[in-house]
Amino acid sequence: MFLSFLLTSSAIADDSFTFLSEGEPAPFEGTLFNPGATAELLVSIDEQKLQCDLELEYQLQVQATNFKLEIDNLTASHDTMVAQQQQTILTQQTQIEELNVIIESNSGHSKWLWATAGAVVGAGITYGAYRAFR
Amino acid sequence: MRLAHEVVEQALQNEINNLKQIHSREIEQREVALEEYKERIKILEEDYNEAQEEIARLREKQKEEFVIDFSQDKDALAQAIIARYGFTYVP
Repeated sequence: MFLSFLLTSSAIADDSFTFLSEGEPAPFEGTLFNPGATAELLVSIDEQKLQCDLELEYQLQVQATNFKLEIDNLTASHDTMVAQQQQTILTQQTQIEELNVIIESNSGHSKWLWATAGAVVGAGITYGAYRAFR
Repeated sequence: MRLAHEVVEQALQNEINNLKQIHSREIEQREVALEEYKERIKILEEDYNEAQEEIARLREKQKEEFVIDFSQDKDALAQAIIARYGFTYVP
């Protein structure tokens, strides 16, 4: 069975490894891992990278979703405010128009009434003055 | 005067009714947005869990392959160690 052997001493300059069979003497000082442990070292580093990428992507997507909800709610509020404003303007315009109609329809009667009343009073004062100063 | 009052009252009543409709529309819009949000979060969580399971499955598969490489392809195993850790292989 081949085993991997990792360097820990400074006998060889770079960090080194080799494969050993059971019972075979080691060429340098180090730590011995069986195939399972060696495989675990190799897959762990790959797994961590995948986990990191997955977590990053997931968190970014969640945040994007949160922001979309916020935007949608703000859009709803904005649409409401615009609609409310338009409704208020429309109501006031309608009120103005209807009140104008009322004023127009009433001012006709009043105009002639006041004119007539004014003419009568004026005539009466004129006659009274005539009689008084005659 | 009475007529003017009635006109104003009617106009305001209409405005109240319309504002209630506008408010209902906003509530509806918000509810739709919330449902979409919940659905999206649910999908993201499902995808996340599936990806986690896939990573675990891949991990086990890779581990088995590396153990096999020990006896069948030492060179491939050496390359895998070098690629990941940068160690020097001493044959």
